[in-house]
Amino acid sequence: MKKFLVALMLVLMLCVVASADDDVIKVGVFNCLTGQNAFGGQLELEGTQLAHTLNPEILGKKVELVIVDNKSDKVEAANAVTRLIENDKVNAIIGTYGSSLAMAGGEVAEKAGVPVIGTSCTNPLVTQDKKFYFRVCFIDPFQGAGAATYAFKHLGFKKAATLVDMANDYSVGLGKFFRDSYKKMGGEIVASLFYQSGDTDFTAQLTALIDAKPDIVFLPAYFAEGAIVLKQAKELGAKFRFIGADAMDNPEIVTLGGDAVEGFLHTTFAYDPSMPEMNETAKKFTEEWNKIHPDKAPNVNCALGYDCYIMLKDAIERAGSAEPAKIRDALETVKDLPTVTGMTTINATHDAEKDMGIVEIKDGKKQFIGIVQPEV
Amino acid sequence: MNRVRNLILTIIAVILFALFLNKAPELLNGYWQRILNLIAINAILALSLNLIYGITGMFSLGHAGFMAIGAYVSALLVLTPAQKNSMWILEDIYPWLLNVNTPFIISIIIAGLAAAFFGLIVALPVLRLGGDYLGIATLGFSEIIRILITNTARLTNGSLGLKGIPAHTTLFMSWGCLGVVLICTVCMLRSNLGGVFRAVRDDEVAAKMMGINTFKIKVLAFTLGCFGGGLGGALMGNLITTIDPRMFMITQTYNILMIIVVGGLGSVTGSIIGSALVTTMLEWLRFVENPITIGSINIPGIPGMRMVIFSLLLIVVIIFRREGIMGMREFSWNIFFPKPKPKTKSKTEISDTILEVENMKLRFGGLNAIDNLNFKISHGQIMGLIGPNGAGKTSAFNVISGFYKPTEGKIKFLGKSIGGLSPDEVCREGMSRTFQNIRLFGHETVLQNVMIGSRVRQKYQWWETLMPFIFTDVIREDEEAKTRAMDLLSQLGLDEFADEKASSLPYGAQRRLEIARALATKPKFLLLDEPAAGMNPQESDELMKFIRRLRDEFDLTILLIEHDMKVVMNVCDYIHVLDQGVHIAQGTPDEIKSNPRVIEAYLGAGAAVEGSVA
Repeated sequence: MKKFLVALMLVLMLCVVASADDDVIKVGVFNCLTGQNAFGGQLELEGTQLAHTLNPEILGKKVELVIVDNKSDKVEAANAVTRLIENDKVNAIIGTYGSSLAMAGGEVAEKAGVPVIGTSCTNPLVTQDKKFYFRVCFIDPFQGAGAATYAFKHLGFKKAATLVDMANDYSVGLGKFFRDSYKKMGGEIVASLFYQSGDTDFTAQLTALIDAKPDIVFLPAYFAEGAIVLKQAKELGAKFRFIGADAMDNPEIVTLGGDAVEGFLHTTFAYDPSMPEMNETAKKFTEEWNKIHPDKAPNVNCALGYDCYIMLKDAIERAGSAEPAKIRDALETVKDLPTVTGMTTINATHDAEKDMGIVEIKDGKKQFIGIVQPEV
Repeated sequence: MNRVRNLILTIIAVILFALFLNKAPELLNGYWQRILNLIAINAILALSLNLIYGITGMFSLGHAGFMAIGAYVSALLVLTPAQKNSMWILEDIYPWLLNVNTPFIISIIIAGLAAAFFGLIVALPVLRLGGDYLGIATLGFSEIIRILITNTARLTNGSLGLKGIPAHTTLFMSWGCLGVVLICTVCMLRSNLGGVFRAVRDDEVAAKMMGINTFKIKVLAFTLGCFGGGLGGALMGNLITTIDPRMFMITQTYNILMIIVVGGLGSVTGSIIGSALVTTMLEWLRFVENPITIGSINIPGIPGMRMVIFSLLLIVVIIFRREGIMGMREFSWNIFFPKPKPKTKSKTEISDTILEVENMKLRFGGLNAIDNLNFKISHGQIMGLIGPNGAGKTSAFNVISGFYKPTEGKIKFLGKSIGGLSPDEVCREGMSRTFQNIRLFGHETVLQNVMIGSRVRQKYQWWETLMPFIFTDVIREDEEAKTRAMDLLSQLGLDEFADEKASSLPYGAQRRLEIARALATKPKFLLLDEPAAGMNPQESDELMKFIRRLRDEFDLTILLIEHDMKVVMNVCDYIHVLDQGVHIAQGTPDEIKSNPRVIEAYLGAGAAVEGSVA
């Protein structure tokens, strides 16, 4: 047995032969490939990989993606980024889904001076006081205000409620920003209810919501709980509408939700395969995606993963170098870059300023309604 | 001599390691430094959980909760007011909290103390439970902590978590903390108190009878373990630099549990080895998730593969080494040197004794286990308590020794009423007992078993054992206890077994060891519950001599339950007979032999006419 184990170890060790090559630009990708956020992380990785396949070279140099899993765990996220920087000597990093993971990894990258582009980490704290962290996504206050604007101004709903996942920073933040904007516009928040990630029975909250008689309920949930909320609301005969946020953007929402999701709205990035007018980048992305994944429609996570690579490519080309510090400087000056999710501009706090889209589930299909400018 | 040699070797090893840490920034890249840091933190966490679970035997699943407390307390103390102001974006931070700021070292000590404080609060009600119940209760507690942190946003920033915690956890800091924790733990576990912890795990009932307040010991071990959990959590927070409630889910506890199971439950060395192994393996195995090229075969990277292989390796460890890598053994420099022979010297004490039982009754619901028992034992007597099965003999023992509370009646020991005292209190008064079915601390050596018995007569406090080099009375008293224990063992003919495991002794020797352990509590009065059970005639002849010798040499008064009539009739000065809880007869052996009621009780009504018992 001992001999066998020793032999096994030796074989395993022989497998680890790292190659060092100066003519290669190494791009690290750290994302949640396993664990509770694996669904989003996996889609983002596929987006990044697609962009890499289409643009395998930058500045005439071969680009190598080094992919590490952060297991949706903070300690692992910090380890993963350290590994990318110290062992793989990457020039830049892309990732991740989940703001708390981004914060854990960001601290390491900040110290080492390696630029990171966040995919869908929308918490304002991620880039706060960071010189090296950027992101291709807009942030929660913007999205919360966007959802409020759409509900109040476009739909004309005067009474709203929120149903928030207390244990989820993303959900708590969005809920608060929605309420603040909605009240500023003159709307009334009739109820503000909570649940915990992992809950499966929302009858109590839904009954309270039905009693409060809102016109619309803001549900900044992750898809797992969000889908159940919609289903149970339908069963209880709730009359109000729901509006969710980008985490509800899931290609399988119709198959999983059935007629319970009919009429469901959610804010998202300005991309959806159902969009009538796509920009060139988005068209190319959709075509190429469909070639590789014929039975899986792309969603915003895929698009954001793709956009990270596009933005990095642009920065390296403008910097004329793959040196981390130079990439960083170039990233700070990204302006009106055409990406899948619309024109991207990086602002002073390193967040992407871009349009926000609205999607509605209509006739059993996801339909892109249009673009919304948050007003407050 | 050995002690000096081992101390020198330890100091050399520590200096070498410190030199290595000093050079580490040059020798290792940041990645390996981080892993080295994690090893130290995991080792602290594993040690503290091992103290609770492996060593004291309390199955706790609450470690993540205590880590969370430590991490948050420390983070809130080291963050600057400016940082706090910018982070509480949803609700305002409490003003009093905003300006609290302490140096890092102080913050981690407060973090540990806070976790220990919560540990104490949990321990007091929860440790009355045992086994699986304790596991579930502590698991529930750690979830409560997590939910509290999520919901007290003004205090903790809720689910948004804290970020930008200064990265204070350097290699020297984490390994320094581990060093201190390790020295304190090892010193404590090496002192007689360590034996007491293990005794509580091995046999709580017997430990009680050794005068140990087992509840206190469990609370102590649990609280100390929680301190370690809080300290580890604080160091972890300062390493990762950002924390949020979701970091401290049950999986965090499982990780630590895995380390101590792999390393060996109850082994300090195992905890260190386990954390080094698990931490490095998890990171090192990352390569299996990358695309691998072997010759012309290309294997694409599969996310999650690492955990699959890691779990397989774990299963292999569990199958081939169920007790973990170290089992319960510890590292010692002695493994490199031949074993020396122990030496002994002797000395004993003498004092007076009387027990008086008056109208003692014990009822379980409607059952009268003992109905009105009266007797007196004077100093130096050997008294027998006999009766057929179910007569209530062992119940009477249990009442006298404090395991049961008498329903009615008085028990006076040395003129003091002891009815209602707990076993450990009774033991402290100067009474000890053996058990019908032997209850030794099976995992301990013979010598340790006896030394645990002497803990009740030692005067040093638990915290002194953390730093025996300052509180030297720990070393002195332990040395005395050891000398006395060796002395007892040689008197009972067990000295040759001193370093063997108690459970490995032959049956007769185990019986004698139980008596030796009882004698170590310096009793004036000894209760022997069927000492001759399972002995052959020759062995029981020896036992008779032995019991008389016990009385003479240790100046004891002895109460004996025995079924072997030969032993009873030959050894006892006076005999009481019980039948179905009723005190039916008393007298000298000769009187009892011819008492018709006794014969009837033993052999049935018809047998009485046929004559005597023995």
